[in-house]
Amino acid sequence: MLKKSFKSSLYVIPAALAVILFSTYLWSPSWLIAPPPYTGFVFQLESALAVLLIAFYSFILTNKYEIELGLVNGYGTLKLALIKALPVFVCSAAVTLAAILAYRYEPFDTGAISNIRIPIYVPDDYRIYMLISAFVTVIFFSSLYFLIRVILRNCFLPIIPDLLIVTVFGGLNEKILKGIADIRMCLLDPFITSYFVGNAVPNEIANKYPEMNLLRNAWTFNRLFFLTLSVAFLAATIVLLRREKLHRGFGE
Amino acid sequence: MIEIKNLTKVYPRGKKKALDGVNIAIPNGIFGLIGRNGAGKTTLMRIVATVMDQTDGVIFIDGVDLKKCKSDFRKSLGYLPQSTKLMPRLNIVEFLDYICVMRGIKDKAKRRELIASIIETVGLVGEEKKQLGKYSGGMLRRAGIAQAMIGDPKTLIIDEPTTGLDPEERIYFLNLLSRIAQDRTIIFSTHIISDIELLCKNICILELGQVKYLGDKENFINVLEGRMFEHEGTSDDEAKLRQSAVVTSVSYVEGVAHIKYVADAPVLETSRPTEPSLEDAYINALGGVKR
Repeated sequence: MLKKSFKSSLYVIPAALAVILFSTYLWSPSWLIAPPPYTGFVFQLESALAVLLIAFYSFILTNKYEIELGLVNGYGTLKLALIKALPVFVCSAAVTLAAILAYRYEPFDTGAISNIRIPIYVPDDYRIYMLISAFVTVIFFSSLYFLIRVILRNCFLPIIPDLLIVTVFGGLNEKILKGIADIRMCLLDPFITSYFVGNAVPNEIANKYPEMNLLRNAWTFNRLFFLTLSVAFLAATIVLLRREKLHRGFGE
Repeated sequence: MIEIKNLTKVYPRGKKKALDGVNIAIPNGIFGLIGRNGAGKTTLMRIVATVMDQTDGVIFIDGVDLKKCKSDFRKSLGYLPQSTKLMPRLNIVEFLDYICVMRGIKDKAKRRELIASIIETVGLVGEEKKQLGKYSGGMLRRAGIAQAMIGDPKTLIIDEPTTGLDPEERIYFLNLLSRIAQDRTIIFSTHIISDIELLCKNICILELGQVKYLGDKENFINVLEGRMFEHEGTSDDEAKLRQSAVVTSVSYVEGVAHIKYVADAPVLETSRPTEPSLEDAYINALGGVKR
């Protein structure tokens, strides 16, 4: 069943690749191998993936009939949902990994980019930070989508709060970069990696910039916060799905 | 044998009981469940099909509590829900293959053989390449029955399969059901009485979540033996009959009222005795036809 599901999810790979390439190109017209600034690339990668994944998920288990047949045929809703969501997640993750591996950061002077007003520090092992960050962001948006979907018993409505969060925090992200919003707001920003990696900043650099010093551990706290939130959302979704109480139009 | 004891279902935030202390014993063969829309048929079917839990009561499958043998029972169960929303982008072969895989039939060649034989049984040969989204209502029902038959289940639960079908498709579908009923228990719900008349020996009438009648179809009709009359007259006659008898049908043809009613003796002089039908017995059990 999982094999069958993987086969039918292969379309996610070219779709995700196309969307990521296009969205990162839009931010700063250059492809992955001729890299745009770190800020734009990470933000576009994470937000494009989040939006893309929830769009793919919205087609999973859209059919009440399928859920009922699954139950009767020994596939509980949770098992069926996992079988269908996992290949989509893995295929997107493969594309993300490829994109991150293909990406090459080239140090740049923040002053040369007119809209960035805060100091940005990108460590040598930036790919690891990007990977962790993308994983947490995508898990967060997916878990939020799943929970709302199970509560509302609708597959399209949960896209709205997810898109709303992407938009709101996309705006906040930009404001922090431009120095308009308080930099401490980055603690609540799902796209935190796009402007700095606080806890990896060496002392001498951090001491030079007061904002950076202030938020040295922001990245870790932020990622832990969103990961915890995601785990809580996923746990609640699993509990709801395991109850198998599908008396009213789940999936319609 | 399926035995349902004191089954009650109250939906969350529901004010009324969808099922209220239902007791039914379902023998082998085709068992007909009749009732108006909202009577509780689908709720009962879904609980027996294990896709929904009851609030109270027990269901026994061959003497074993369903909650204790849920997964075994599911293996011997075929289910055709009321919804006709099959997977619209798949064709019948892909759809049945998907269900076969769910059922745990891993051998590809075996699946291919099984699917071809089921497609032939349900009369969908030649329609294999068409997407299910392009099927007619009747074809979708047959595709639904095809998936329910995978794994050769001992019990089939079929929820209002003939609703919305044209007469030819309906008869085809009922014939198909009677053909596959051998050595199986089929629970078949409908609000179309003539479907039950054609197919079932044992019936249950549900009304507002309660059992109105349970037993042999013929006995149900025979209760009206000698008490069924027909009358041709005016609208005044209809009014009189509605006051002193249970009217089971009224139709006006060229201004003349054709009325069938149940009473211990003819209410009007010109009334004639007539043979009761299942529909008469059903309408009588529900208190007569509405004005």
